[in-house]
Amino acid sequence: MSGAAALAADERLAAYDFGPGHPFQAGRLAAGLSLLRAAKVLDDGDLLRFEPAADADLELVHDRDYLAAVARFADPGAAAADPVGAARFGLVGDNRPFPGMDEAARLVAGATAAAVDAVAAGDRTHVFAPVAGLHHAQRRRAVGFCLVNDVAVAIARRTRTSPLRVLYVDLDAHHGDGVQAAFYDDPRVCTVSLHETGRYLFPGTGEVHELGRPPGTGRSLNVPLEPRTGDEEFLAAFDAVVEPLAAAFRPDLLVTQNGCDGHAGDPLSDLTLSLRGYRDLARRLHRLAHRHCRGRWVATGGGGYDLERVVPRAWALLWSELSGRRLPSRVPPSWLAGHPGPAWWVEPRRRRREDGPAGTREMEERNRRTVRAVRRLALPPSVRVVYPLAASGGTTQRLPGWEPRAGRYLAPRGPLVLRDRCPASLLRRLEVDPGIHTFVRAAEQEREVLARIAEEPASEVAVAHTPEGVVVGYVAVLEPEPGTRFASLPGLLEVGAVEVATGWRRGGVASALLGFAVEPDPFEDRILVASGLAWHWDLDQSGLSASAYRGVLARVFEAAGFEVLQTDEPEIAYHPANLFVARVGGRVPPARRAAFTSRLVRGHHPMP
Amino acid sequence: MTRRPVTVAPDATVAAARSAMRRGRFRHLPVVAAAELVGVVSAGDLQVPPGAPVEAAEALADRPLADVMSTRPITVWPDEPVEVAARLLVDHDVGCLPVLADEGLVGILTESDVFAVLLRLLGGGEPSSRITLVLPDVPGALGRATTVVGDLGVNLLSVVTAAGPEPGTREVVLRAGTINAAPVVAALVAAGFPATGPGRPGPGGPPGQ
Repeated sequence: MSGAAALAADERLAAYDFGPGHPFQAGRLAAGLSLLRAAKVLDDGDLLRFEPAADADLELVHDRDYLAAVARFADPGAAAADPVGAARFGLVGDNRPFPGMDEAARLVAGATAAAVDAVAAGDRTHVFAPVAGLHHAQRRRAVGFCLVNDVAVAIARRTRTSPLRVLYVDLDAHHGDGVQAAFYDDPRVCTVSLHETGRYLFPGTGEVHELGRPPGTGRSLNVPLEPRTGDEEFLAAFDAVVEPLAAAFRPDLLVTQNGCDGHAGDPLSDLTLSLRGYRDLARRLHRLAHRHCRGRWVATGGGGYDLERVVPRAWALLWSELSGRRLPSRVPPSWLAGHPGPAWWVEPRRRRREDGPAGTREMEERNRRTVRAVRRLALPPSVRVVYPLAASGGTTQRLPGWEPRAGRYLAPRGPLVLRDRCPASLLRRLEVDPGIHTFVRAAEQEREVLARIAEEPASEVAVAHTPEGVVVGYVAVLEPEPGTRFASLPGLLEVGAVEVATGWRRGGVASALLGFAVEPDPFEDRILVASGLAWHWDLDQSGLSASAYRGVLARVFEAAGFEVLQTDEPEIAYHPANLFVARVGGRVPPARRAAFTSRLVRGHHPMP
Repeated sequence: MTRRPVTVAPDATVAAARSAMRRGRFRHLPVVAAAELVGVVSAGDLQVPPGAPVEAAEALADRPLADVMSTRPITVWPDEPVEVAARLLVDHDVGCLPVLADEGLVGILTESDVFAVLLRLLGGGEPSSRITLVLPDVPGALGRATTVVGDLGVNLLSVVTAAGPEPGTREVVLRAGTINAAPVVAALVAAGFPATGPGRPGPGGPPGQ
């Protein structure tokens, strides 16, 4: 699946060097490049040309006086003469000034910018920039070994002049705070960071509820994982969040930060991943790039401070995945002579211990809660159904059978057939109007999504289609995802999606179809709920403000017998335009109705 | 505190106060008559208890604030230290403190304001690592511990101490301005201060600065 790949690195980047004894030093690059050459997976033709980034590019992300300070203190005498002035810009301790640091920082930013340019222009399919991904740097402060935010600069250069949508996935053990901050209000750059929780670890941020600011709300996502999280759970979190997020967001370009400092041997974190885990993550990113971004993928090296055993191998595994070059079966002895260590690329597989160290169960449970909370916030319900959590263990209660029904609705644009209980086989025979583009790129895929929802045992799909068999709207009723506030109530179902194709909106189709979908008698025994999170709405297409959209949605639900309810469920309470509605069936016993009502307001929010 | 806060008159209605709160997005209002502070109302004072009949809610909306406000509110001076203000909030179980100066009402301090100060004091707003240590509760111990950190070239963004787990000990939470906390923890332990923090000794011992 690989096209022409390139490596955006050469020996000039050795200039980014905080000196001997410092975790971020020139030796990282030398060890990594020499391993690629020794393993014969790197030719000179693979190297991407790049130049130091220009002022105008850096100034998209950094203040001019900060850049001036980086240049001024690059002279060793200046920093010694004015330590307080240097510290004001974070140029102290972790980021102690070194000679030539301004030029070195420009080179890093130039490499990443060239990588993004080459991929965006289609010259290369994938590019790996190993000395890059300085994700902590702030607008006017050096943070955590990061002098310039090369990733933010490279992305901003492109999004400023083109309508590119960028998905940034950060796998470094530390929260990708600088990149998140640079695009916190930008709806076209979606950042998602998987990291060790900031309760103790640097930089201390990256909580689930850091979601972005309007108009970019819902486009900053964070999965803070517990200390000691290993391969299995890290990969599970990736699968549960990143893959469906890519499907929902429809990026044009994937940019990743592949820091390997979550490795069990790394001194700077408490995660316990292995090289095997990093290899599997690289495979997943590669697949994701081809599935959702036409292959366009820029990977950056990020952190990683086990300089001999881990970082060179992690880079080689990532480069091999992205370039399609096969690594030899063993690490070349010639390289090992200068870098003593094992001959394997990834750790030998160990048998999983049945019970890990004390606290493992609690750690796993906390991670699960975190992942579920992120999914609720990041993904519309219909996306969650297509990408279900492994072993969700829901209490499936299939609705009692009724004969599939068909009805008619005369929309302003023409007559429509309404159908419920649509089986997957029927859905696969119908066409889908291209105006339905909830979360996947092509109508073709949208049909498959609908069919997969219909295949879930507890879900129901009702559609509105033209006499010619083109679906212009659908309603999906699903089982709520386990672990959410209302999920454990027996007999409760969620209206996961009410979608109408753009060309058919404002014609009463949504109201007619929703009313039709919830009409059958078995729904009288059920509580139906639906929630609308403002950042999932198609505000661009509809031209409505969030509060106007909320009003439209509320009227659609009210016409079908739903009631708008106040709740302090954190996800709903997060944004004033968010909407929660419910329809309690006529035969729902009073005790169950009371149990539902009592859950609406709890008064405190136990955080995941 | 919020300077020059929105105020209401005692004869204004509950409904008027509610809409002022909605507009301004706050939950506490000083009540002022003839330039004198006469009370405060909080959002809770403007609501009927859950389950009360609809008529009660309607009747409440038309009542004057004088009927529902807290009279003789607890107030503070503008130069009061924040810990004094925090203790007043806790001891009197109130959500806000009008701030009075010689010229009258100059501001209002709410729980959220105190939280904002607390966040700053705890160093939670800046990139940093959290390190916990236990010290003997004797003069100079904290100074020796922070010297160990400073000698590594690491800046401390906040230091919070409280009585420790055992009598005669003091627990200290440091926010250290470094991504590389393991060498700091190791140096503290080597100096005889039991410390815990993120990260672990590197492959060949701590990488040191």
